[in-house]
Amino acid sequence: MLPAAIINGLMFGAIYALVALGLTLIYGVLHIINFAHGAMLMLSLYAAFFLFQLANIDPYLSIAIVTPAAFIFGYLIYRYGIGVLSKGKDQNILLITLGLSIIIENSALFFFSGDQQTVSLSYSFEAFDLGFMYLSYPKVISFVAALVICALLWALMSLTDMGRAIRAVAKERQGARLVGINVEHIFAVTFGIGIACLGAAGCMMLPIFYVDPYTGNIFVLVAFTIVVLGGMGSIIGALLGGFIIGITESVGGLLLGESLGQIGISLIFILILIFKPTGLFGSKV
Amino acid sequence: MSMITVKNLSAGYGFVNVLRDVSLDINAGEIVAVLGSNGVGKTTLNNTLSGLIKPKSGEISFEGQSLVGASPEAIVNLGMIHVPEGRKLFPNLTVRDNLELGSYRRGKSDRAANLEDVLDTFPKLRDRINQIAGTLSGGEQQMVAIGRGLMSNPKLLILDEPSLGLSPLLVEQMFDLIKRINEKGLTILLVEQNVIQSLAIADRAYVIEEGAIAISGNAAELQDNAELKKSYLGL
Repeated sequence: MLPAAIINGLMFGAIYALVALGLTLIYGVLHIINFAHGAMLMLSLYAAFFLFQLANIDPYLSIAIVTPAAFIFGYLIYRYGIGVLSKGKDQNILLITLGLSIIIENSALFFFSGDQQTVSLSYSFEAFDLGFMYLSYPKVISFVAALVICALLWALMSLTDMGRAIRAVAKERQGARLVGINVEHIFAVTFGIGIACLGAAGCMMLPIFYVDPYTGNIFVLVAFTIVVLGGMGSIIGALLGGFIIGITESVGGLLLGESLGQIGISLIFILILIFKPTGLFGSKV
Repeated sequence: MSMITVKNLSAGYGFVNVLRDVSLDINAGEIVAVLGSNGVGKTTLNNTLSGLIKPKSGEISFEGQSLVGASPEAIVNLGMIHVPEGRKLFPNLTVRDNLELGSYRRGKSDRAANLEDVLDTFPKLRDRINQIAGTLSGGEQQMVAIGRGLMSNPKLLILDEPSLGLSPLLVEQMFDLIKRINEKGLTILLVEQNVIQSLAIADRAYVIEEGAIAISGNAAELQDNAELKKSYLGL
């Protein structure tokens, strides 16, 4: 039972990691918490849902549509919304993202209703037989896709000029301006990448979860814990933190029963705050 | 023909005017020093030239092109690079990443060749190339800052207090180095508090007091200027 719980936790942890990755990247570079993260995750889930309902596109294939669309949405909403309205003050950004989340959630409630929606795929209940457990296809696909996206993000951040510019802006905005980096553009790109992670996560979640206007918040609360655990702004921290939290929740559910499984997450959160408030990987971007 | 001409420039922050009616020009190939003590507006002048702050009034033209309202990126593209006071390196990146980002706007075309040039100018950085910039000594960080500026093949290099915080020996080396870079054909605007060393390598100099140009002239002549000696050298 325990190995099965651990593997299940890893699978879910990969999706948690994606949500946390977006949050930690935006925090690391823009130094703000995106309070609209949950609302934007929910929008991604609905995007995948409607692509499935109306155009019959498999949610996993939707990743290729929703992820770039989420990037563009994130870029534009930062460049021409948050960035302009905040007038360069961090506390304004905080309030704007909070306001944005209220607007998005209530619009969703108005247009999509509060009903929980699910999709069922032809292969939803097919599974690999590992001998000691069955592992459903959707979980395996989500896991692999999440790892691929993390690897791509790592490559972008360490191997390209854009990635280096993002890391440069994270620590030294004036120096960045003086080498000719357009800081506002980099902020918007970073915000776009953060939202693109949500786009991918939303598509992966849809087949194994439900969507309603508040789904996003369930995951974002967990993602906050992951970000604190991994270290604010750390990409590798978000990935490892996602796995640790995924496993904790799953093993906790096994030992304490499904409804108490999340106690472990809160416990980790408290322990980290007491013993290592900078998280596992400090604040490296 | 002057490379950059500043006419009646006023600039500042919010309602405060820091620079008042400053005019100066720099010819291609020169080292021009802008001298003055703390808080007279030297850094404001640099920040205005590099587009970080917008002038309140006045005219700046670089090779005949107006820079008023131009973005910092556009000014970098034109070939004017500002190496800021306090270096403003990317402390979390390696020396190589810092240097290579210096050529961010130029792309990868002559990046490798420029990097070799910079490493020939600063041989010490060759051993430090994969070190995180934030862990370097002050002198090494200043080398990276100037090297980062050189990576974009600039025409005009603005050096803001390059000798600040360096040991006396390193200060000497820094001024030698500025002279050598200039002899390779690069025009330099040197903004400094170190009056003696700056006048020794500069062609011409301007002295700023309380946001306005107080004295200007040939560096050699200014070395004997009684007023300058009295105010800045305590002689």
